[in-house]
Amino acid sequence: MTGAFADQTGPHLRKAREKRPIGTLFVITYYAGIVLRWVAVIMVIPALVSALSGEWSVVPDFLIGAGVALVGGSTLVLLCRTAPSRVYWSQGMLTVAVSWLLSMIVCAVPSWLSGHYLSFVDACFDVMSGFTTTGLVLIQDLDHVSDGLNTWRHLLSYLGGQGMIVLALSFLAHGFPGLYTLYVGEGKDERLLPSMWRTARAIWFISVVYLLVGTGAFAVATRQAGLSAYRGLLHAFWLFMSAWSTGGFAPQSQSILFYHSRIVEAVALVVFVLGSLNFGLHYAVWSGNRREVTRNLEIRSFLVTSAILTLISLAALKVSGVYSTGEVLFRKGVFHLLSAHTTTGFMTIYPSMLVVSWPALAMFCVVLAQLLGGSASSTAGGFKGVRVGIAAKTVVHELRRLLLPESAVVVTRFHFFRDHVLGDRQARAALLVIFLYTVTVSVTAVANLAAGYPLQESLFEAASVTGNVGLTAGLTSASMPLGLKLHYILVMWSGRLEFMAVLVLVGYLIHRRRLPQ
Amino acid sequence: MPGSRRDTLPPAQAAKNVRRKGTASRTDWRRTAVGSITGMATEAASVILYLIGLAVVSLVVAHL
Repeated sequence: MTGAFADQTGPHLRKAREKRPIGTLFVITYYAGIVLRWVAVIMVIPALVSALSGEWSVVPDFLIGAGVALVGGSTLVLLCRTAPSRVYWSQGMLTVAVSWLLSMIVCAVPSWLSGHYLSFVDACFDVMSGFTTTGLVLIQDLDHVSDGLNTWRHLLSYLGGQGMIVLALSFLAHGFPGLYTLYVGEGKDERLLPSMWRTARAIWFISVVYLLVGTGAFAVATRQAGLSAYRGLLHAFWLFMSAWSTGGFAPQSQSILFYHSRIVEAVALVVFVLGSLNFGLHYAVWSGNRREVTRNLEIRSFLVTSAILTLISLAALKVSGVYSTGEVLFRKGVFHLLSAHTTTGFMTIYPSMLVVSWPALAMFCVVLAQLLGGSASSTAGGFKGVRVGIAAKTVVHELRRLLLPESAVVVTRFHFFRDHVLGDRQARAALLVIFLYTVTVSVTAVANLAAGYPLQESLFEAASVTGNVGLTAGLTSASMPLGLKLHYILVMWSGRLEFMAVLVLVGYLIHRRRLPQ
Repeated sequence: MPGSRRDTLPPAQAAKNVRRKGTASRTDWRRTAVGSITGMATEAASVILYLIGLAVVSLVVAHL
């Protein structure tokens, strides 16, 4: 082993370690500690941006945050003393769930110190919203936030979207035993290459290449929109990170509407649709397998659902007379539908307009799109295209079984990077996650209603927060009840981790001694 | 290792092998770069085509 896992103990201790299985708490502590150390390193980036922008009063916020992360992370690693030689599935899941929560608390320190949040919980809310690529915000006076804090907010989105635990461990701990368990725990399951370490590097290679190209495209667009070269470049950097990670954070309170630019909207559309695609698909296309674009079940599922929902919502908007010309229908109707479907959350209208002007049918289409979400193993949230595709195939499969004679053998195939035969296990796994999302949306909608919000807005916001979308009907604000803020944090966290890691954590807390390995 | 092929290779052949190794590495990088550019172009073109399709749908709906 190399890097942070370099075994500095003697052979006798190494042997003892191999014989003695390390407890779950130690595994979590050790890896969470490493993740926190990595968070400390990342905080240097916004500090540098602050320094470049001459915001010297902001730099200490990040240095204090980095100090807290470094001390906290090192303490956790020291408490564990030795690196685990093996990580079980349940331990990997628990590590992800706990690391995300600890990282949220530590990452909220510089945000809170900025003075733009009414409370530490509000700062935690925004950090979790960033990590989970949701995009809902409680920040105060967003239009006058420092460049450093804006970089920090968007960076959290970018890192959270790619999978921050896997990133931290793949770069700091090359060759450590349980990377795949953490990869799955973070809601990704498509292994691009045989080695997890290489898979993580491939994901980061794709993301960084797109970062360079996408930031360039946004820089041209923001320059055309009238921003100065330096400010335009900063906005381009932030917008790309947010769009690629389907995060929805924007440097201005009016989101994309601020730019009043067709080119910015067009670049944003292309980037967030690309960001919502499966990393496996990016890798396949980049490796020369271009046919995967047309054959992949997930792409077909996305094309069908987005086309149907777009058509219905555009018809509803046209009939209601909200937008009349083709250009406005595209820039408002299609933009929001795709922003919802890719779980990005960028807006080109005010949230209040969404509630007041949009017809109920168009709103319903957006709610549905928010739930369907983007692709699996991408930065997007929601049910994910592959699960929607499998659920649809399962329905057709069952219908065929009912209609054909009992002796007939019904086989349903689909293509998802390779040819598959639809089995009970795949159908069960897809339907389970869809069921859990639906239950969580219902519970969140009930919580919103209990807090006194109207039904339509409650449903819209519940779908947005559960699907990690970030579109808002105006409910999410610093004035919302504390209990609802905490509930939203939990929902964003569990929705992004696709419930499994969180359910394992709940199981661990209830039956601590009976954890399945 | 003494007596192995590497040990008995003439210096000119050994130098050629080293050059080949270097060429292979450069080829890998070139392949990665070409793959990235064509891959990105394919993906971006697919998305833009799809968006153009939706823009046409918007125009049709607006004129109905």
